[in-house]
Amino acid sequence: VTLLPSAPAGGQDASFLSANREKIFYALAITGTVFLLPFSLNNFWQGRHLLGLVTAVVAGCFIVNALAIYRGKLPPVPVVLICLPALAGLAISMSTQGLVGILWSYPAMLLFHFVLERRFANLFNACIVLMAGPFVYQQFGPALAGRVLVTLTLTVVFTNIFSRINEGQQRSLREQVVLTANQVKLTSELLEALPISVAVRDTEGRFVQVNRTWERHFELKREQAYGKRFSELPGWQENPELAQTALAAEATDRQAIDRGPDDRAEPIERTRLGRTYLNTRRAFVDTAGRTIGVVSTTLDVTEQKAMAEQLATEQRRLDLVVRAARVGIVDWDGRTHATFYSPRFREILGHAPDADTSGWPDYFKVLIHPDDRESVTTRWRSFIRGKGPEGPHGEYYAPEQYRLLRADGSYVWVQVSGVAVRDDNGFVVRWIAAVTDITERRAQEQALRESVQLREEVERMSRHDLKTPLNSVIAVARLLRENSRLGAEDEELLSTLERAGYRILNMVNLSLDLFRMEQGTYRFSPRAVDLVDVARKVAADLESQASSKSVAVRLRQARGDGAPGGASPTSLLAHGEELLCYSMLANLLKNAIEASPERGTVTVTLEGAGDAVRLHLHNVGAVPEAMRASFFTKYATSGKGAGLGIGTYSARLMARVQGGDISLRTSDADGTTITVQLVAAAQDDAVPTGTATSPARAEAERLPELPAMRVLVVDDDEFNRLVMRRILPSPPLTLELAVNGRAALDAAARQWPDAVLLDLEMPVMDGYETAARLRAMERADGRPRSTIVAISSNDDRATMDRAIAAGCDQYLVKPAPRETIWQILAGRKAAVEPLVTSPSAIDAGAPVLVDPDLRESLPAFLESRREALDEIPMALARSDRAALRRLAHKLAGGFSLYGFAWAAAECRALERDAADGDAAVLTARAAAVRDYLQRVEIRFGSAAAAASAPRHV
Amino acid sequence: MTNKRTLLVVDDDAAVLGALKTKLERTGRYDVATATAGRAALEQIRDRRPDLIVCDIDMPDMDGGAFAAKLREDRQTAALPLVFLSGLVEPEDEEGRVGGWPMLSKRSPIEHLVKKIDELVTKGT
Repeated sequence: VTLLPSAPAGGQDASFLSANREKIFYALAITGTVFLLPFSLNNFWQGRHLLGLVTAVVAGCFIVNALAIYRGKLPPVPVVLICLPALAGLAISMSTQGLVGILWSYPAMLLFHFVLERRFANLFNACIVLMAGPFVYQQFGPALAGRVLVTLTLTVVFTNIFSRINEGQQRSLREQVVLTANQVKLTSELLEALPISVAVRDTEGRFVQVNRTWERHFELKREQAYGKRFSELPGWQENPELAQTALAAEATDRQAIDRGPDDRAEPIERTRLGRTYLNTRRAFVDTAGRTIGVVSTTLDVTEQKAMAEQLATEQRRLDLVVRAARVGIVDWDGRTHATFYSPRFREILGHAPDADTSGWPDYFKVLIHPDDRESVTTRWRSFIRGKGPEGPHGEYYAPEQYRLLRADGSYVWVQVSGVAVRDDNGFVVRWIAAVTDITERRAQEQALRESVQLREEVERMSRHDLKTPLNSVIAVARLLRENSRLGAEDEELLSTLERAGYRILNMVNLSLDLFRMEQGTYRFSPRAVDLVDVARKVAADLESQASSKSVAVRLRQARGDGAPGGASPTSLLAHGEELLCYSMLANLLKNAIEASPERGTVTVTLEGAGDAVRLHLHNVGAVPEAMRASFFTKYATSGKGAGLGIGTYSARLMARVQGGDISLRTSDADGTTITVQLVAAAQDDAVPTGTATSPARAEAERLPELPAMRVLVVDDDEFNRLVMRRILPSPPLTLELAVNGRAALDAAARQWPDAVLLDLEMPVMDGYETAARLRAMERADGRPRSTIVAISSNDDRATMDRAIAAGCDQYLVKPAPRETIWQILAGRKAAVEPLVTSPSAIDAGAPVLVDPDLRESLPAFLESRREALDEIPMALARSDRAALRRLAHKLAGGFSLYGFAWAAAECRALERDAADGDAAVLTARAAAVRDYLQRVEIRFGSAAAAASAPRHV
Repeated sequence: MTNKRTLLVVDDDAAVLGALKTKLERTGRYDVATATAGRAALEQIRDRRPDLIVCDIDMPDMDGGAFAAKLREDRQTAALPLVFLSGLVEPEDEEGRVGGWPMLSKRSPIEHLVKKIDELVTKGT
């Protein structure tokens, strides 16, 4: 902003003239009247008519112009035109009167300068000089002419000088005025634009000046305030609060005046009509040093104050929440790497809450327990770099548990969950973690885990213990029935015994299956199941239960259009397992019969609907209101005295395992309908062969012919040995029996068997060791390879893997069906569904060929592998699947390089399953590899030289 | 001094390093330096330029890709020949390249690896 005035547009004379036009014309009119008119009259009198006339014209023009201006109009006669007759008058005067005319030239020159622009004035004056020169020369001679010319010229020069000086003064004065005006304007604009209210009051407390913001704050116009005191402001006397404020304000003004202009005015907070203001008052002193009033400036801070209070409240609340949660906080700055530890965090680590943390060691390098350090650091780093499973913009860091170093050197278990603040590039600028002390929780969890493990162990053992004697019951009953000459009655009793045995076995197996379904490890092997057939069987089996309550069970099939169809359903194939369908339906139907009123009807409607098949169970009883939500949850019972209440729960579990679901619709009016939906059988589903696969009927299947071969049966249970002897006919087989592994090895040494049926759980020497040793003997003595079939009551994957790793070819679960054993012995393994598959096609029994150059480093290598293998169960215990994968990967790489192909393949399988594999299976696999290292035969030689050694497997 | 070539083998598994070092030095053609981490390897390269770097891919501090990128970043080391040796590589994939670098499989017999390394060193000069 420039405060300098712009240069005047036209010549300064013009502006001077125009600025002073009135006064000039009035002066000229007066001069004309007073001097020129008498002079004119005198000329007429003297007979100089022409001169008198010219003089009169000039005076007349002056008077006319002055009158016009007086009336507020433009002067009608231009000044230049007036000057022309004046010039003519001078010329006449000179010619007629001589020296007198010359004398008139001097005031005329001054007049021209006074009334005309300089250039016109100089023009006229030059005319005068040019006229006067010849006249005087002609009449008075050169001496006087020269003097006249000089004096006239000097007059012109002086008038020009004075005119210019005057003009300069005029200009600077004008600039000064403009400058001051601009400054005043700027100050006033600023004052008006300020968001702060400004008021100036005189020493009497009367308002002198206020700005726009003041008007807004006080909701008054400035005209209403000027000249008034606070107490006189409109509306202030009527309002008691404002009247009070006015008194206080006037008192404050007086205090400000008393303190003088040099007082450092600190802002004071005031409230008026519910708003908060910050006010400053200062005495206002004029340039002469007199106090002439007070300047008061006020800022409205209501919003800022409210915001600050809200922030403080939030902060207090956050503090309380953090304190209530007993959560320690770590706040890490991604740019400076500065770390803040909250008081509670310091307490968790056994320090005082106000302990100085500036000298604390590195969180990752020192504070984290050495065992947890690598996995935690790796995970955190990949999270920070956006390479973790959370992705490049991951915000939340899922809770993680590890140990931190305490002040006393011990470690505390903590759970850490965090949140990251990332910038636009994904860079973590801040990471805040909540840290909770979980020592107690971990102890509880540990106890719980142990108790669960104990329970599962007991369950597993009891199942195992149940199954072994049960096998004997079934098998003995069957053998007696087949081979003895019994009466029809005894035969019938034995048959009942056998069926009962199978039912118990099915129940035990089902309970195991349910456990697997819960764990998500159940292996679903679907076939086409005829639901009509299953429903008929269930209905028949529950017949006695239904008739005891006089409940009728009706079976029908819905037509495609949904209407109930004929009473005799034909068939409806579902994609499922018959045993699961049977158990599911039996559970549901039993419940329905129990829930049905006496003499009621339970209707089972079967319906095929495209890709799905549905089965509706309807009874007239309604499920109690309170039960409905938890109908399918475990241990939910409806007023039943007995029973565990797992019927509906397991039914749903079984439906879901088969890819379907169960839903409930119940009301007092319509009764209860439970709908089971299953997937319709696929084209390639195996179709059930008979109406029921009862054990007796399976017996009737054609058995393969057995070759003459030597079979070694190894089992510590005499019943089992007995059963085996009956199952395996000799001839054509030659049977050898052994009570444990050691006896088996002796027997094998005497006569090498073609096949070994090997129980895994035996005293003295178990089946695993026996298998491994048999394989070793086989290799050492160059015996023909025998088929080793492991037979165990355990049906878990770990046992199976371990058996295969020990050298077994096949794995059967007790009771091993006769047909399967026969088929294996008859060499018809292809006809049997592969019961187990070894994780790799590499022979675990083959010797390992190690490069001779590596002979020296081999012991250290094997030791390092064992250490790594031992870390696997630990990683699994920590649920650290990433560490497991790394370990397995590392193991695989090393094993490959040294030529341990089987171990490498096992470790690759471990690596592949690391993320989601069952912990027990993975542990068993690692153990199998460790066992393998103990017993594997190592030879030294060149792998490349041995043409038979395949490079790629 | 003979005209032995210098190799740098980088792997986080000391057993692997030991095996390769032994095997390669027994040939009489190589001096083998080893490093168990990418960072340490980079420091070693600054001190002594190897004729070939044999590097694992899956390492804890810096994976093979990051290691190779670091090499390329530095004008001093950008031209150094590098081969990846990893269990992630199937023997069938040995003819391929990863990130422009050749690769070898840990599953290949060690004699085969030595032969491949011989080829790469010869080609690299």
